[in-house]
Amino acid sequence: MASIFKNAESFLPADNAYALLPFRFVRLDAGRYVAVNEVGEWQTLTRPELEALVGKKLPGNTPLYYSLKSKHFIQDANSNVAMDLLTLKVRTKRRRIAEFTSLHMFVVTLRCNHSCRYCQVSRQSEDRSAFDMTIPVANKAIDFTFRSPAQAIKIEFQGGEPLLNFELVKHIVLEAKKRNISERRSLAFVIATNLSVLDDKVLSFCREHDIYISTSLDGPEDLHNANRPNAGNNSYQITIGGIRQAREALGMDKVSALMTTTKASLPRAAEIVDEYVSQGFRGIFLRGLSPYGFAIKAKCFDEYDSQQWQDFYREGLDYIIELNKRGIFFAEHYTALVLRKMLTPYGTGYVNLQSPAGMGIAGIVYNHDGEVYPSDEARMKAEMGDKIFRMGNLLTDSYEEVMLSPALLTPLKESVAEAVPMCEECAFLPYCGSDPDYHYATQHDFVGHKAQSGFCKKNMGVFRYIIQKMEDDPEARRILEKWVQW
Amino acid sequence: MHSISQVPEGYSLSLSTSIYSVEAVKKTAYKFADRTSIIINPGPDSTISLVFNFAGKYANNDPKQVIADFFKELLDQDLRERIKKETEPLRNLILAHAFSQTSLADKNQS
Amino acid sequence: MLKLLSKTVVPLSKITESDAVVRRIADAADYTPALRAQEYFIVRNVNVIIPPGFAGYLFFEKPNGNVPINSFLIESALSYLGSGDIVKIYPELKMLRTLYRKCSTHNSLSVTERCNNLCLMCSQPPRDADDSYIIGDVLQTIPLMSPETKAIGITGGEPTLLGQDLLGIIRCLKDNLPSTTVHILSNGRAFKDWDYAKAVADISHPDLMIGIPLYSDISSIHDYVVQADGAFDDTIRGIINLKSVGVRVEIRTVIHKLTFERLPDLSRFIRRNLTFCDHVALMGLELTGFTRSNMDKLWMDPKDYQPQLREAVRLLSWARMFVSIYNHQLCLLDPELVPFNRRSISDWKNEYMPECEGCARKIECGGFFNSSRLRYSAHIIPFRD
Repeated sequence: MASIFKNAESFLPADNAYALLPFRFVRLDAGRYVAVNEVGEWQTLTRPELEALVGKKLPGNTPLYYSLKSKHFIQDANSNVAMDLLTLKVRTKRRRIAEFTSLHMFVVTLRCNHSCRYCQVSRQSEDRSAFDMTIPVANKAIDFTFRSPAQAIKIEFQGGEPLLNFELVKHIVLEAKKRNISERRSLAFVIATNLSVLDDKVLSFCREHDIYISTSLDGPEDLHNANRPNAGNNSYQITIGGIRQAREALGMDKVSALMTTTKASLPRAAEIVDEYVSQGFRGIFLRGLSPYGFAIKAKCFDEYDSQQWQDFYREGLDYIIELNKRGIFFAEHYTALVLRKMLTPYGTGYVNLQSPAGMGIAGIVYNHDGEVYPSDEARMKAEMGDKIFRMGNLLTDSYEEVMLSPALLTPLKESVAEAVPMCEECAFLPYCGSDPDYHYATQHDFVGHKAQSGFCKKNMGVFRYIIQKMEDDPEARRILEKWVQW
Repeated sequence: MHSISQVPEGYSLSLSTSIYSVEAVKKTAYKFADRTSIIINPGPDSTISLVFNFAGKYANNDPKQVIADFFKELLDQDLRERIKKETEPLRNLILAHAFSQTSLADKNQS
Repeated sequence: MLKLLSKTVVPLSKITESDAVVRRIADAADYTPALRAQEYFIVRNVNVIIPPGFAGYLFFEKPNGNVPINSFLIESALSYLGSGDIVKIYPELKMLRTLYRKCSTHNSLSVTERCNNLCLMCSQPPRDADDSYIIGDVLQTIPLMSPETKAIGITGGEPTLLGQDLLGIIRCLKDNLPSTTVHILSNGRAFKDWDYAKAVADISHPDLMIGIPLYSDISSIHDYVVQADGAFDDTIRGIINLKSVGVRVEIRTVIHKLTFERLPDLSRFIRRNLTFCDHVALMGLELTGFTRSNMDKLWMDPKDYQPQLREAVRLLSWARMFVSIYNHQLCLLDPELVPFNRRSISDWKNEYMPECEGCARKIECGGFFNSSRLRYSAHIIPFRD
């Protein structure tokens, strides 16, 4: 009896033909390659499979074929909706660019009471007139801030030690909120502080205006204090005490900590994580080695440092995963950011992993003297004597003059990852970014030779490690998935 | 397939341009700048000659390993060229469409 | 299982309207006189005086004495009928069709039996006949429904085959039942026409969702399951268009032997490509309609696909998408999945099996489709809390 139903074969394409959709690939490890499409979907394969794929010899209707088709690496006669979906996904990934500058850093003073070894900017001084931001400069900076079309704006107070100029912090918060009544953006405030001059006045103002506190915690006491001397006082104790105070006044979720990674940090990943866990934090950001504050190598990155950092990151991440397996919810934020790029249709706002670079167009710095820089690193370069990234001055230049200055546009244009050697063909391009700051600091070039770039080595190491974890360790994968912000 | 000979500057070999494109060779050489310095010259009978130098900061690298890796990468570059040739027009189409002003869901064209 | 179609209606007196009419039922003796002329009165006690003035009367037993005109004898299986319910009686055919039950939480209106897919597991096998008369019935039924109705389903066949008439039905629902949630089951293919999607959006119905099945991330597998070439592409385009004009979309999939293996891949595909959809429903197989002819291709014990179901739910819930599991028995589900389970089997369809005897979580579970008596999981175990 003839069935009214057709069998599965009659819905397959007439032949085994398929076409490739755009993708890049790179060796993942000894046995595998990884192919990544334009929006970061990935597929691991062996080299023979890769060759068969490109040579159009991949057999149809196998799990690998289906996976490649589903993830839009190939298309066949059966369906032509892949291009529409890819287009939607590309647009979604880049949506944030249209938001434009959302992080606005106000350097309210250069005065500081610490002398952290990696800091390039602070001044041990009482001279307010030389090193404090004035109200006219602050007001101009607020004008500039609201010129950005971003729906979500974050104003971050930096320094020196911003609380040494708390009166101006208050003025900026109140002024910005007043402006926002008509602007109606989602407005958030953060103060990056060493907590040494935290008092009840500051805390009650923060509580009233929903202000976040961000502080530095480099690790256990000895490590922290070695990095951040504070003229006879114990910086670590001050930090811990300040965190406690701030949490009591503002709530756990309003207080965060960032570590700066120095050579001394590199062998102590687990200890640093333990410090954050015992201080009640729910996560840590394992940052890269900064090219500032140490002897900056003239041409190429330090191979040894780079390998040590890889070990540091892996040890830290593995330890954190171990903690999660034991029931402690604790995330690694850099990994979570990368995973957002890998697993979701969305991009991230993290300024250091964007192409075009996040400088100026995602984050911007208004210095105490009205000088405008596209990033904190650029400001540091200027304080060290090189003003190559100086975009203009709030008091003398218009918004258009500042944002369209060649000091910004040139590094942005020249360093677009999609158009520079090695990056343009790199499988990890959708996860990575261009970093003109870093490459200018280390190679005196906005693009840099990526074969000699610590930024490249670091990121490729991270991407490989994360993909291997996701592929090879199901329990780790479940833990990592939970860190991702969708 | 390719004969490697030792010369005063390091290791020399020649490649046939009917098998490897000059572009692929150059891209691969660029990638190896942290491991060796490579000088590329045209050779006789549609070949190119490469000289791998391991002096100075490259002295600690194992020449055999680096050259073996070079050839692995060269084959990968060849594969990349083939992928690019087929998919570049599609990529341009996707990007152009993604960044155009028209709504993507408007009156589907496909 | 409730009987919604009766073919044993017997006229008890002179019938003045031979054409079938859609009417609401009343059962209160003091029912407002103004509306009586349009409604049927249902007689539960023949010894009580029958209120006059109604359009017709429904009896379960033949009364003594005089019977008003337009009286019908209906079978006891229809004793569930009550005030507010809506029926259509076909006097010449001796038929009564229940169109709406006021106290039900699962009212749905089937607007056509035609369909442009032919799913292997279709629970309402399509018929290619001109059933455009149904539209008139629907447009008459809607104004009679209680404004307190929580939700109405629009099903078929494929509702979008009605074209503009479907828009008319949605408009009618908006005008008459503005507080009622409308859930349209559609294969979504007609919405590849952006203008049609826009037309739905322009009605601005306050609470509308379109449930669209997607059975695989692979076009050839989806097309095979729905037995239509090009269905996958059309459906995807339809979903995108609907979301682009702001209509809420739910993606549904039925889990069986042809779809379970790639269920996690489908989840990955949805969260990557269709992240904007409002809900994902993962459903158990109903053994009616075409399913019975395709048991060998489709049937598997739901216990056997729990790993895939777990992974699929995880992937979607990690992405903060709304996920529900329908048509599964609680004892089959991994405890991790129980929070996603919804008591979903329509109250006119559900039953329990002998193995359920003494189970402490019967009500919470919702049981089986009546059709599951044909075959059900070998792992049904009652909860003894």
